Amino acid sequence: MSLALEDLSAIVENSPVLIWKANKEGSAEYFSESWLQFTGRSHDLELGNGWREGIHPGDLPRCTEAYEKHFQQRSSFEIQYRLKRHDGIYRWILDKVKPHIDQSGQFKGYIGYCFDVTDNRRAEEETLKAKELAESNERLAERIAENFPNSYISVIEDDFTIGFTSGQEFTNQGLNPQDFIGLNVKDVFGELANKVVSEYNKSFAGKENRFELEINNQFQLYRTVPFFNDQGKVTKILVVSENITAARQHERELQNAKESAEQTAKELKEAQKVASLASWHLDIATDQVIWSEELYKMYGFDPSLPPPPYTEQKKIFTPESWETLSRELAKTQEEGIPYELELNFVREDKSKGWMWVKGEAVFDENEVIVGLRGVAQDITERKNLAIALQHSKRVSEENEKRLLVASNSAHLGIWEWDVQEDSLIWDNRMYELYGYNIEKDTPSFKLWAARIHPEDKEQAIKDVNDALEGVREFDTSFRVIHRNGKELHISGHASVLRDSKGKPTRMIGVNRDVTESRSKERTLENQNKQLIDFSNIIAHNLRAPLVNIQLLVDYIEQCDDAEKRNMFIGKQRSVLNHLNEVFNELMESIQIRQDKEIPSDKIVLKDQLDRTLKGLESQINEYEAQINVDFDSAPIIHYPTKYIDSILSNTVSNSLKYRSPERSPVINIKTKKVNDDVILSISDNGLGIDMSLAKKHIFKIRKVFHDHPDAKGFGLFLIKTQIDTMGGDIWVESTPGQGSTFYVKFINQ
Amino acid sequence: MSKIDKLFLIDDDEIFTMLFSLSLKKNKSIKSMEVFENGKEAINHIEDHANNGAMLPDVIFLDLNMPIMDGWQFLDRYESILPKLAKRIDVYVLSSSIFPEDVDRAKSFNSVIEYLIKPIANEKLVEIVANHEK
Repeated sequence: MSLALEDLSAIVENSPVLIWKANKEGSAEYFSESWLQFTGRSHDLELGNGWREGIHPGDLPRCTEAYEKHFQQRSSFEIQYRLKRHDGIYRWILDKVKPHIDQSGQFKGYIGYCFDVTDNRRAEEETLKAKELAESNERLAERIAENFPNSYISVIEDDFTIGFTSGQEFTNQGLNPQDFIGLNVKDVFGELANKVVSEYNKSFAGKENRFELEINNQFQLYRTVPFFNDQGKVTKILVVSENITAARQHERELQNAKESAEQTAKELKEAQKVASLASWHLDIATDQVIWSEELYKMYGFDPSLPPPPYTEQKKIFTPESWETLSRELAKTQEEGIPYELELNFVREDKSKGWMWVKGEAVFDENEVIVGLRGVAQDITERKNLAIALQHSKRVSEENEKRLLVASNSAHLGIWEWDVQEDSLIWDNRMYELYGYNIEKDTPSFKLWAARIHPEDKEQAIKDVNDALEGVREFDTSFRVIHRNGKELHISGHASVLRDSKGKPTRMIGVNRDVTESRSKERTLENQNKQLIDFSNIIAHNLRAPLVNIQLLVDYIEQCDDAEKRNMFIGKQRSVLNHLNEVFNELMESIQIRQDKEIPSDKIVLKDQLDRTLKGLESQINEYEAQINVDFDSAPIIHYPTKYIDSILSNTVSNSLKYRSPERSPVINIKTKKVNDDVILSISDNGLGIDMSLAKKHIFKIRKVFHDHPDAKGFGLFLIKTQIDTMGGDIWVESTPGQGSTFYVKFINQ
Repeated sequence: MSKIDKLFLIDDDEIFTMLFSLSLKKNKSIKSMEVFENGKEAINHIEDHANNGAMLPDVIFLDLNMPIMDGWQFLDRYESILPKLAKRIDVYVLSSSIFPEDVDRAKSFNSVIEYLIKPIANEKLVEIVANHEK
């Protein structure tokens, strides 16, 4: 069944639906009566683009865009926009727009069906708002819950029902927050309900509030905040209840511990003081003072008399102490601040002492100061002891410091020996001096003695024993062989401490390394000796021929006898020769001393000796001398060739020169290695030397010890000079009539 | 007139002893002179004749620098036997040394009367002869 056109027209015109139609170009060509009634405009005004004037300017662009877009596609669409009603109020319109296709399928334009949805839309908006609010409330509650992990959060209505619950604490306590919604606070809190209601009421009265409750041994801190409605009335309150049990317990334990510590300290202090504690009490109202007997005793007043006036006590203290005490007492009396002081006081016998005083105010129940009380104790002994201790500590520290400075700067090693315990303490320097390891070695008498040069050990130990026995002070020097093999000269001094019976208990001493000064001394000594030698040589050996020449010249001048005069002139030659010889020798020895830097050669001793013996071949053969050589122990030495030649030829030729007339010469030449040194010995069976006469002179210039025509006293002087220059040594052992042995020490081989 | 019967010269220097002998011979106050080449020869002689005044000298001129036994060693030995000697002997050190240490050292011997530096003038000899008589 189909409706007639006029029926359709009637339906359209009477429908509350506003209808419009646009042609296929998109231009509006028809508006229903309902539309025109709604807008209150004429049909002509609305035609074309006239309708646009009724659309809310804020919605127009959106509408135009949607319309154009769907027009191109010939598709249907819905859009909401505000349309101005005849009364000037914008109403929300839902426009359902559909393409108009005729029966032949031709596109004829668009038709829109419009409904006023303003009322629906408001309802929708409110629903949305309510939803958003609820969501935001939920988020707020979550946020609160996050910030108060140990809290219950609830909203309480003004009839004390619980409107909202949240918070971690519900979960912590195994509760479901939803279970509490709708319950009344009075039912939830039981016997605490009255307290809770009265506290909640403070917030219902518009104030923020906080209070604490202890529920089932849990401490809860409640914070309540009022919610105001738009009329400024509090309709509900927010309650945040935080579980502070852990913090509170911690606090309580801390307090307990503090109290107990204070108590212990107090008890300890009291116990210490109780021995001779003096006390006093002053009643301010009556101005009555009560003294304990101990206080009378301490101050030296008569206990049978009433306590002296306060000002009388001034005499007891030194001015500074009295000033301090007066100041503190005034503070206690006026402000109730207790005092505790150590004061100087003067006894009746004028001796000074130290007093410990402590005082406090006595309060009545209204916290008014009604009196003072105090205690005092004579702490002179203790204080003096403390001062003495401190002083002696300081002194000993200073001494130690001073000693350290002294020992560092003077290269002093310090040692302390407990004689009875036989324990030895060394400072670092001692370890260094003796080449011991501070980590590994424990110093002992034995350890000390082990490093002492074998030649000095006996004497050094004797010196220690002599010091212990009080024979003489320990003031000695000895050589030490350091771990690195070097020889050190140590100068040692020590003091012996004895007990009341004179028995040695401790020995404290210092060791000083004097090697350097000793070697300098030695160098200086040597140089001095050389200088004296030179002076001697000049005084004796050069001047003697000069005197002779002078005398000869005198005689020649005075002599009338030609024959005698020729004799004198002839003598002049031999004196001049002598003078020349001495002068050359002197020059040679000076040369050696200046040859400090003469290089050492590697010398195969056997070869060198062969060369030397070659020069003495005729004598060796003539005297039928037998020469035995043993260089096995040290076949090679490092020495200037010139010197070793001089040493060998002088000693061997001496052995030949001073041979015994009774036997053929036998000469034994040997080397021996001793540590880093090589000792060469040249031993003969010759005349020997009277050592009691030769002594130190044997190596001096122009010293001869044999009545021998070839004795000149230069050879040994020369080689001694050479050996000295190289830092070695030469010495001789001899028995007259049996032979001599010369030893030469070559060092650092 | 004062005189010296016996004079010993202990010196190894041949030229000097020859020349010194010549000058002594000019001095009539000195009766006789013996030369010893070194301290050892001289001390041996003195020790051998310690009791015999006739064999001992009145004056000794002693050189210092000599082989075998020098002047110092001689003085050491001499002073050790001094109490045994039958005669007082005047000992003069006669040396070419002008070294002050030698002078001081010589003076440290009680038996040494004077340290004389070679050569000595004739006037000094006269003085020595004169001194001997006192």
